[in-house]
Amino acid sequence: MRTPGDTSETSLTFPVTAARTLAARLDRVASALDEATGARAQAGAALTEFQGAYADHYRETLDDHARSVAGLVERLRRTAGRLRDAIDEYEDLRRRAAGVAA
Amino acid sequence: MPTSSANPHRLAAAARAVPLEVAESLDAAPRALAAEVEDFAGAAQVPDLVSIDTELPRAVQAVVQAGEAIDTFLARVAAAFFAADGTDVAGTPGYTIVDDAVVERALSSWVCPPPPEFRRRDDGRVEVRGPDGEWYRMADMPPAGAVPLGPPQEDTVDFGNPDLPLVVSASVVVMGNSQPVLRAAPPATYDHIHFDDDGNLVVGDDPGDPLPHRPPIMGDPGPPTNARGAAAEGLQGVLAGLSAYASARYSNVYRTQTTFYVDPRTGERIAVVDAASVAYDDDGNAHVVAGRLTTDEDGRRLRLAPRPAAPGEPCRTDGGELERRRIPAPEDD
Repeated sequence: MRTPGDTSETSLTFPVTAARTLAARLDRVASALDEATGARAQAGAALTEFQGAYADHYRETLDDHARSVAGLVERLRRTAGRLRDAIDEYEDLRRRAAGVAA
Repeated sequence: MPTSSANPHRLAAAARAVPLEVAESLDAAPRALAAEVEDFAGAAQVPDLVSIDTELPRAVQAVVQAGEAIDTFLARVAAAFFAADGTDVAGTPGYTIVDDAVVERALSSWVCPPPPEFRRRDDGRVEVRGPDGEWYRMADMPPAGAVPLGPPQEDTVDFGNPDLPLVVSASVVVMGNSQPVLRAAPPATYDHIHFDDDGNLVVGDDPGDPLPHRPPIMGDPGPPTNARGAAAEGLQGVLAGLSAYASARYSNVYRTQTTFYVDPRTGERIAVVDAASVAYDDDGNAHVVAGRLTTDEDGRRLRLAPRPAAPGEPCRTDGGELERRRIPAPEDD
């Protein structure tokens, strides 16, 4: 049984492959969201002749959406970074545990 | 009276601003992300090094849908402008002014729309009436660069009947009296035949589900000889007896899924009808015998939206944030 503070090599476990896969997915989703939002913003900015209540509503919604996407993209990328940090930390722990055992 | 001005061609084009491959990637992202989050979160970590917010896939889905709702909104406004008899602005071709009340009516019509209505024109072409009340030409392919104006509308249609949409009434003889069956092939009969999220025809919610049992439809060969006897068991008994007379000759009955578009270049209204032909075996069980799914210009299968709400289910719309924040009609101001 593992005891608190036990960092022997055999007790260390981390889903490295799943973490790498997930981090890559998070980055790809963030990039796709960025690209989609950029494309919508560019198309919207070109609709100068679109005027009136519906145009105002459209622009307001587009701005709100861009802000939501920006927040989420930041969350996705931050999570991907934390996953990669955790992989590094795990591999560091393993190296140190292997050194102690030797 | 408040008005709006726009060039509908440019609105319709802007609705397709997101590159198709990006849109497809985002469409698949929540499901793929959920599976990978689950894989990671379910694995053991000793010591605990990092935790993942399992709500991330849902958050991604929400923003993806909100983005699609913006595209749909633009496409619908464009369709409203194309259909409206607006005032042309001198010196700016394609630039028109339309009353906001007209736009509002057109946009509202896409919320919980009724099933589509089919008609055959004198020249033999079939047209479909969209939720906005306009007639759409039936075509094999959606117009290039067009955004669907809404989720596909499902209905059951008998294209073999000269009175489209045909399967509307029938009667059976019960104890010597003709009893109307208000809708001989009610939608509920076909609820188990639908297109799944991948665009495949599916019978039943899962492969283990029984096939739906067909009630009688117009053109059935008539009550079975034991109809009077069956009447003692009530109308249901007669219906069950009739269905035993079913055969594959009723394969002109289709489960249809209609998607409405407006061509961003010409403003023409186009309806693409995906249909599952339904036939019945001698035991009255329904089978999907043929189906057709539309493809885009590159031969790729189009993404289909989830099926609309079934009877009894709350109405689902694809409008997302934009639908919930609808602009009040000018007269409400």
